[in-house]
Amino acid sequence: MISLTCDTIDTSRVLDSVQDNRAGAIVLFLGTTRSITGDRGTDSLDYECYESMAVKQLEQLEQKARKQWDVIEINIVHRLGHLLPGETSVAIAVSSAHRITAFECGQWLIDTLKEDVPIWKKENWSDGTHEWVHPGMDD
Amino acid sequence: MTLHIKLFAVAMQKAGMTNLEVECDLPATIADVKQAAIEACPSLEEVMPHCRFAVDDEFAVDSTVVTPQSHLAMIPPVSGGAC
Repeated sequence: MISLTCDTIDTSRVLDSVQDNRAGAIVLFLGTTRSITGDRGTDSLDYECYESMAVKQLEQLEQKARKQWDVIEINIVHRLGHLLPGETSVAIAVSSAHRITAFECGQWLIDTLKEDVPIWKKENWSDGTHEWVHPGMDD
Repeated sequence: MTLHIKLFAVAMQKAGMTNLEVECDLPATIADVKQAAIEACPSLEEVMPHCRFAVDDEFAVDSTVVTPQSHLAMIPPVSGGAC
């Protein structure tokens, strides 16, 4: 299952949502907002998305992962809107019979999400400037 | 034909708008749409090489053909970040 939300991500609920008696392993990945990047401070971040495409790409991610790994359940939740440092911006939970599967699948999901799902973040730096974060695109 | 391109993040910032209207002759491909976008909004030129395009919520390539019904979006590199 996948979802986008403007509300605080309830990480316990994400974890609970993949629990299953057939599972021997559950991996929970949380992406959290940093207050420091290099030597720059962050006051807050704003996440925006192209919603229809983000939902479609997330659904395809889940489908591809299920074809590649023998997982029991997958839950991906991405936060949108205004976040303060220390909040959870993305949560991915994977359950499977054995741990190697859950680790590999979880890593692939977050790595691929960060390449192909149209969600962007804007750093509101503590010096008062703002900047969209676009890897590989230095102005 | 008139096409509408959704803009996000740095593309939206550069263009100063969330939707860009461009004119293209049929048949048109994404390569034509990119050129038309730069002509309509020259401030997008510097970010264009870094951006992908989406047609109907799927990533497209320069040779992808578009129609008046296509939902187009310019997709800057997504939030990524170091591993």
